[in-house]
Amino acid sequence: MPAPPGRRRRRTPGQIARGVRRRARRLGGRLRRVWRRSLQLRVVTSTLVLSMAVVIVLGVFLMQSIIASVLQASDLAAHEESRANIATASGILTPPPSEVADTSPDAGSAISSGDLVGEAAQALADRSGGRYDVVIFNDAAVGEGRASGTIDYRSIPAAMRVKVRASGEYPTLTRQYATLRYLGSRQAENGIIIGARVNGTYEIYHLFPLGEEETTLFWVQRMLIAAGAVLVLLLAGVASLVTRQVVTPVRLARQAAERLAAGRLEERLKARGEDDLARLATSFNEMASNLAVKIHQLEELSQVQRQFVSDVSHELRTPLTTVRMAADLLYESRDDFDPMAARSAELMQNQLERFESMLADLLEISRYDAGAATLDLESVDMRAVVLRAVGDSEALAERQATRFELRLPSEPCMAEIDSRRVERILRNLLFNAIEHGEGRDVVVTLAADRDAVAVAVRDHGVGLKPGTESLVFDRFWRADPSRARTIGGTGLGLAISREDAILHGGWLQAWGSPGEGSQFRLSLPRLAGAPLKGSPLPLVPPEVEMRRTWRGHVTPVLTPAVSAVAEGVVRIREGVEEAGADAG
Amino acid sequence: MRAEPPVRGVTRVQAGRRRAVAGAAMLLLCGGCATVPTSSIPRASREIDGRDTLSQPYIRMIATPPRAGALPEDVLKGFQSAMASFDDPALDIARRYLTPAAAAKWNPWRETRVYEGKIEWDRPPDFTKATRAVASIKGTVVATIDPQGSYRSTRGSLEQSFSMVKVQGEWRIDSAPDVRLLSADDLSRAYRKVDLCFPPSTGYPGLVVDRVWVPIEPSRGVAETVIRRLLAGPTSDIAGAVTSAFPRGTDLNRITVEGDTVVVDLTAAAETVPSESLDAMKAQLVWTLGDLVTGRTVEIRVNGEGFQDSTLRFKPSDYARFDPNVLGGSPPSYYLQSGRLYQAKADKGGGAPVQGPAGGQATKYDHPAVSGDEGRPQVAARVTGADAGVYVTDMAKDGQWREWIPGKDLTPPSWDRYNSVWSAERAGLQQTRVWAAAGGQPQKVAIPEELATSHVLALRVSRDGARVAVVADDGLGPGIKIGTVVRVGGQISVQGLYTLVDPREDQKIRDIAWRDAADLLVLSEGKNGQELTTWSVMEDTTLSDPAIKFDATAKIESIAAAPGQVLAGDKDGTVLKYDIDKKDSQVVAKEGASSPVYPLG
Repeated sequence: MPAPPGRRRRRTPGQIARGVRRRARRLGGRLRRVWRRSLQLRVVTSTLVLSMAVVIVLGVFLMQSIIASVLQASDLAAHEESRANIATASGILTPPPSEVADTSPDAGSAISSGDLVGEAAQALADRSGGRYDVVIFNDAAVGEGRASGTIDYRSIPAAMRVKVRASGEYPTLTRQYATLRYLGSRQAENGIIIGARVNGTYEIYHLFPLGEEETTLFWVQRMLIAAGAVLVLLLAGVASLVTRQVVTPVRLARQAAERLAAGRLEERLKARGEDDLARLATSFNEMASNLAVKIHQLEELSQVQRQFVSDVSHELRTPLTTVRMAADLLYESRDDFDPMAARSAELMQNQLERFESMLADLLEISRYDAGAATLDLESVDMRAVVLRAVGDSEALAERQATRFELRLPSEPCMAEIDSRRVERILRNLLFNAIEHGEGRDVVVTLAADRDAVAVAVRDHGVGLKPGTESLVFDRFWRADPSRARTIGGTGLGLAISREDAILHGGWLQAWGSPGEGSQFRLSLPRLAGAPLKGSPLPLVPPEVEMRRTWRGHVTPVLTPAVSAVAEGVVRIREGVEEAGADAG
Repeated sequence: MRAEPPVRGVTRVQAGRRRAVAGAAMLLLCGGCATVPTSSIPRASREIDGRDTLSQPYIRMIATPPRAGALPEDVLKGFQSAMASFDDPALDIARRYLTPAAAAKWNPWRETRVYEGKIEWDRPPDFTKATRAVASIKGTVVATIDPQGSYRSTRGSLEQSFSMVKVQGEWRIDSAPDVRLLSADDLSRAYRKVDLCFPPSTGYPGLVVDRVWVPIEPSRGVAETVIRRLLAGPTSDIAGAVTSAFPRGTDLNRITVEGDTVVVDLTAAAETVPSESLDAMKAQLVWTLGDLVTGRTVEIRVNGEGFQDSTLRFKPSDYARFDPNVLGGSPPSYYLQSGRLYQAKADKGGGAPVQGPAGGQATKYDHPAVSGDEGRPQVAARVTGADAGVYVTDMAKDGQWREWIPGKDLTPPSWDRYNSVWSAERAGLQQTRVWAAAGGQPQKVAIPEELATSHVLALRVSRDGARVAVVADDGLGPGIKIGTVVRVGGQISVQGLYTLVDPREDQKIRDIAWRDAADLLVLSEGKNGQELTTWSVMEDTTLSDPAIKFDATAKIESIAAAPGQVLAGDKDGTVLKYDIDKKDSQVVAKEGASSPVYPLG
């Protein structure tokens, strides 16, 4: 949708909802993470929830009992007062006997029969002193309803009047809570109504406002709620404090364990006191020191072994030189021997050569183990290094009927490397590729970016079984133990190459797949000592990757590295030379 | 420690300490558990009760609508009780007892009539068959109350007939008189007698009582009803003599009690009161509310806020000088003895001659009257003989008798609080002139024709100077008339004359005296001997309980009255003092004492 220029693009509600949902999800995720990670939070939350439940239950119970006791007191007082009043009123409302005889219905009935109701009501109202109000009804006669003060007599519920009318005479009292309304500006308040039937048809109601009790109860309720809230917060605070006391040493122990795992064996915990945590710290410290001792012992042991290998190699060299000279002599004069002896001389020569190179490799690797290997750095063009290594491998390639396909960039690829060691790595990789390439083409790719250079050597042989990519760099490892060494590698070549690459601060990695061949990639930083962040070449060959993608019916994505490599490919076909490598 | 004997002392100390700690803990525990404190610091107690202390408990009639199938008698009784119900200001429930046509034109507001009587039916009706009936209330009218609240007692028979018809099977009143009929019980239940106080229109710092009967609206309460009635202004009887200090348009928002303070919340018009009227306004409020505010503080607010940007708070006792009764609790009293004016001693009997010529024997005079000037009171007296007239002198050593009102046939003088001496002069057989002299200058008072053509025997101006009581004989015998004194400009006139005591045969009125602003004591002599009656001037009625009962044989010649006490001089020359509250008497002076006098009145 093309938005008009100069106006902010308005988001649809759906977008907003999505945004909100996304944000909520993110927040939820963060909270979940915090929840999972923080023991303290979990303990505090559960304390909070549980104590809240307890406080609510207790508070409700407490409030109920307070309300009951407060109301009971005023209820009782109201009852007493009403009872006394009704007795008085009953006395007033009973007309003197002489007057009873006088009032016959036929005679001109008196308009004011002394106004007994008024008298009774006045007596009760005077007694009330304004604390409560009195309402008198008499349904049997007209004009005998009286109310005191400003009470609205309609406050008396109709149901209550029915009940009172149906109830027995005076000693029976009927009681109901209701809202008392008043005429004029006085606020309605809740109260208790006590009604009784007197002298036949008179109904006397006492309306006691309970506003004060209500206010009291309201404040008590407020206070209870406030106290409960404070209590819950306090409990949460206490829980937080207590967990902190437990969690902090545990956290310290974890950090110490992490540091210990990182190799800092001298790491120890401070143990204070004699509690469980202190004992944990002590045990941890004991474990750490035991571990350190064991590791130290093992280190010493391996040191001794390395020294032994190194010494053995050295010691073997001197007799080997003598044997070699003698063998050379025999080999040169093999033509004079009978064929059997000549063959033996040849064999001896070969095996001696192999023995020599193995010894050299052993010495080399023991130098690495001893940490004595140093780099002889110079800035060289990697293309030249690759070409030299390829040249060295031509002879062997010729023998295996293998062709090289070189893909080199047109510009120089300068890097600070020890060219001898890098050449050795490449030679090893090439020999390896030829050996396992089964005569198919070996592709050598060189690529570079701003920080790094990489060389990939690809063969199309049997490939590697899954899971063996890292094993290939182990010493004397063999993909197939039954297979003979055609080229006669010592089994240490890739291990040494790996050590070389690590010495440069680079990577040497292998990829392989059964039936698709394998690829080894060497990645080196352009400047010595700079950390390597990435490689200009992919580890998995691009065509394999692409084929897999196609197979998966997914839109093919060409990685930028692939296209960069594809640009600067140079194919070189060169003559085969006799190879003079140290090892395969 | 295993060795016990050496540590005995230590154990005792420890045990003591432990006991102290336990005691403290117990105390704390008990203190925490105790619900009602057993003791506390004495503190000033506060009123925490928010109850409406302005209204005493009172009883209302509950108006009930007509019941279905009610008999005509019940309908009429129901109508009467509905009329007596003040819950229902528009009398809507009472109207439901009327037929629709009658309800539309019934107007009970013009007059309220208080009666004593019974319902009578014209003929013994058979209500089950009849469709019409006539009933009448027969009895006596006790009083009428006009819409302003003026109460007039009347003596007249009442016969009010109500015709009743059946409307849709129910009895209804077809014609009702345009009057609100109340029984005496209804009146005492629903009405309150209120003394409204207004400052006189002369601007004199005092108050004049205007007594009205107001129905107490239940939704408002006594105090609010009274204040609203006060703001509505004086009744027409007294309207010429007084004026309200409240600015026109002032209305009451509410009246509440806050602790010890009665808060009167008025509308904004109250703030326009001129500063010289402010005191009068406050006094009006205080004296009208009377007992309701005694001992409390009154605060005037305007729309809930202060008055003229400050707090207007005052005590009723600060406005005692505005007392409408003018005389306080124990006023000085005087009597005449052997031609001298004596001032009675406070408690004991006897007295001392007053200073100045009145206390001497140089001039022969009778019927002295004392002015209300407390610092330098003046004495007015009637002199008969050659230089007949009313003479006045200061009650001081250098006082001189001076003639203020010349005339031969003058009534005894009477002071009002404007320092005027009043006296009526008989100019002819049935012709009377009334004089009011101030500062020696007599001034003729304009009087109604009714008074001018009658024989005035005595004339007393009330202490507040707003009313005058006259004993007049217009041929039928002596009766008492009350008039309102109106002072406009320099002119004084008596208006609104009405008869308080009708002339009766063989009734002689010996003397009259104003007791307070509203009550007049009348000493009369009839067949049954002497009688002292208290008349409520503004209600036109005698108070039921006579203040004092004289011996029937006593020959009282003259009386003087003040709030709470009465002086009486008898024929034998004894002056007695009656105390109304204590209901006893004491001799003030004997042997030739006569003409007891209180200041003014």
